[in-house]
Amino acid sequence: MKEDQLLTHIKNNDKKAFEDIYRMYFPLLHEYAKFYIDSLQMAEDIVQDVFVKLWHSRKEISIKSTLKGYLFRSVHNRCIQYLRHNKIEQQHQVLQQAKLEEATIMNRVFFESGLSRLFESEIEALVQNALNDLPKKTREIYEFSRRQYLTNKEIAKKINLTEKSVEYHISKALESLRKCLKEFLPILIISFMNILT
Amino acid sequence: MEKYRINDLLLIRFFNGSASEQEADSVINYLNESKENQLNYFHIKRIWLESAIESKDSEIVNNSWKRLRMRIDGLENETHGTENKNIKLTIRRLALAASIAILCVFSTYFIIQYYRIGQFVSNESEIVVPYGSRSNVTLPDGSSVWLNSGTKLIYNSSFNRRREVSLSGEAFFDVKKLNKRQFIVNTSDLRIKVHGTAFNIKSYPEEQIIETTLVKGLIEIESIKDQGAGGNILLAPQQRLIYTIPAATTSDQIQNEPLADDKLDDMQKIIPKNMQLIHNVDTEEYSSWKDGKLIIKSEYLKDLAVELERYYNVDISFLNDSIKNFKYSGTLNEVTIEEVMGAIASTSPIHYEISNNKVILTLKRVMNESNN
Repeated sequence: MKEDQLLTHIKNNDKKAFEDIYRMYFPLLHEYAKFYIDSLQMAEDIVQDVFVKLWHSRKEISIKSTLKGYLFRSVHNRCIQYLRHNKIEQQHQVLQQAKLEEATIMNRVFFESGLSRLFESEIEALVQNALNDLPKKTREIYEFSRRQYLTNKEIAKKINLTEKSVEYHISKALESLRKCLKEFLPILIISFMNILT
Repeated sequence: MEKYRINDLLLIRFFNGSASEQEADSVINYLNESKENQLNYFHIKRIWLESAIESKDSEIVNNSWKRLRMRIDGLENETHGTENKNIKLTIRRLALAASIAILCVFSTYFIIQYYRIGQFVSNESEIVVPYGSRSNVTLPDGSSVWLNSGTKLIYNSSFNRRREVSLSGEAFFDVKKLNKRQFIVNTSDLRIKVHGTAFNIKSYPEEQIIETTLVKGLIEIESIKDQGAGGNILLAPQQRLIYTIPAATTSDQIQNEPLADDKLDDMQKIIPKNMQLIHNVDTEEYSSWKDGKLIIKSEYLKDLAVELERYYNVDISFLNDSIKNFKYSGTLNEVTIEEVMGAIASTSPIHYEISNNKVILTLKRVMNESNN
């Protein structure tokens, strides 16, 4: 696979391959860490730490799963550690605690059981396509919510709609986005059930 | 379908940090409810993540790459030439320096603590529950603790400032949630940090294992002896951690690099070798003792005897080793030791004798010989 080749290149000190991997995965990994870490800078540092480590141990490293799975797991672990060690100073105790709990469940359910298939890149293209297929207004509202982190209230004000219709558009967007992941689901549910029962 | 949509929006609020505390709690409950929910949750989260990412040539990614390159180049220049050996040596030196610094800080702390304790002399409260009885106490912060037979619980007069107790034996804690204030339970080898939760800990000095079972909430378990080894473990509800106390050696073999990510491939490896994590346990089984119930699930008689000894404050001895490996299951609800023994004798070829808190068990076939 292409991913394997990249790893081989990295092992041969190929910095360009390393950069490619960083560019390829940083956005999603950063997005992933941002959920757990309140500070954008810290979230970025955490992702970078994983890559620094990858570069320095490139000779010895052996990755059993996919490179992407490895990167997610590493970022996930560091997020958990960060949440644990910073929880006392955090302002939003309850939310923080909830995120830590979520991270623990995620760990158990997805990383431990090797369900990292959900992180595979085919999904990316599917989601992007589905986003493009949305009606213009729906996509616009979804992107306001998603990329600019506006609350439903703020969006409603901005484009002069009721909050209810903003919610409607977001639900619609999610619904069709989910449709595009549907073909992945049956396989996942089966392996999921096997692992957990 | 309608119901799911509501969840979707709530989940999105959770993702972007605008959920209320109550909503966050309900997300966690939702997650804990079923496997389907977990999958559904992840499904939405995956879309959520994917639909926001920057293109790989965006300004943000460019800048980030520049920073990373600087970090890596910077590190490489420092250790240029001798490569890995040198890096490891530097890390080792740093670690040594750090350990010395930490040691200094700790010893200062302990010296200060020592003098403090010396000055104000023992402000500790100690609750001791003898063998054969059980007890229930409410701590100054409103948390409840059920103490099993042969258990000692110690807490300091400063408990109201720092919620910390020491435990030897078995206890079930129902900890009151107080904003920002952790509750810490110290046992011989493990430190358990919690917020609002309910859990059971079994840590008898005569046993080689420490068992922690979580009923609700979330707890963090830290090995006191291997501190800094990254051995902190998070326990989720219905999980049980069995820690085996290492035989008086150092912990050098335990992975000291907490972030050996390549090794985390199999998540089991984040858990040190002497710990075992069990999922989906029936928590009732491990906490029913507080209601005077004893649940036995295919337990060997030799292990059951240890529990019964504590529970009834009796001394149980075997005249035939072979019966030690008989297995029993059942629920004992507030019964006497005579009734327990009666039940055992009626279901297996065992003869029992009770006198002066002493129970003697023999195999029926050889009963006459043994009695001589």
